Amino acid sequence: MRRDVKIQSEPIKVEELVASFKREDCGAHVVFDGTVRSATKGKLVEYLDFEALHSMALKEMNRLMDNIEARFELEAASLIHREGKVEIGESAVLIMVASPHRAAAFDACRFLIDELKVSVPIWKKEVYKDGYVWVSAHP
Amino acid sequence: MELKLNAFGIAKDILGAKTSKLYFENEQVSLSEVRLKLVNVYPDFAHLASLRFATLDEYREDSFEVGNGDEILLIPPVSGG
Repeated sequence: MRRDVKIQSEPIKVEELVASFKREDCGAHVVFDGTVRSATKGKLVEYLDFEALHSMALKEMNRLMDNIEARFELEAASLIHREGKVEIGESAVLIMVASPHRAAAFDACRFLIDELKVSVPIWKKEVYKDGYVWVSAHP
Repeated sequence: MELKLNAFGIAKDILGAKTSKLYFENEQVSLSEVRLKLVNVYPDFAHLASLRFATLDEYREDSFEVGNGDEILLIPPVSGG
């Protein structure tokens, strides 16, 4: 399986990346584009600020890749996450998975986003006009 | 002996700094002892949904032993995506 994991501060060029990710040996390409929404629980969000424990986050992202490679029939997978300031409407995370068949592609993509939120050391700060909150910090 | 603390996310706010140190009488302690001391000195750690420890970029169980000069990464609940 061809794999690509990255943490970057520049905007993710989604259309360009999706176009170049397509493979002729695959009949299924599943893309998850996680974008920044303008409000959470009724409160307006100004922007997000992501902090990453870089070296460990890449290690954990690669571990997720090992996992899907072992479990699903895939030809390629890509996991890109932003760090630093991310504006409303921009992509915070882009996941692309390519497989000959759709079931494996859907399942692997779902696995990557779900597990990213559990094990990869990246933190999301929601910034409002009057303060900020570290998402998920408190029960 | 002394341990180095390196905090991320809300753990930085609780620590009041990116890095700090903890001192122990014993030359080696388990991470559960580190947890006790940390919550004692910084009670707000007790209010987090979780606090995980890592050393050398690997998550560690609370039974894991650390010693003088080791760097402990303080990992509050992650929230990527």
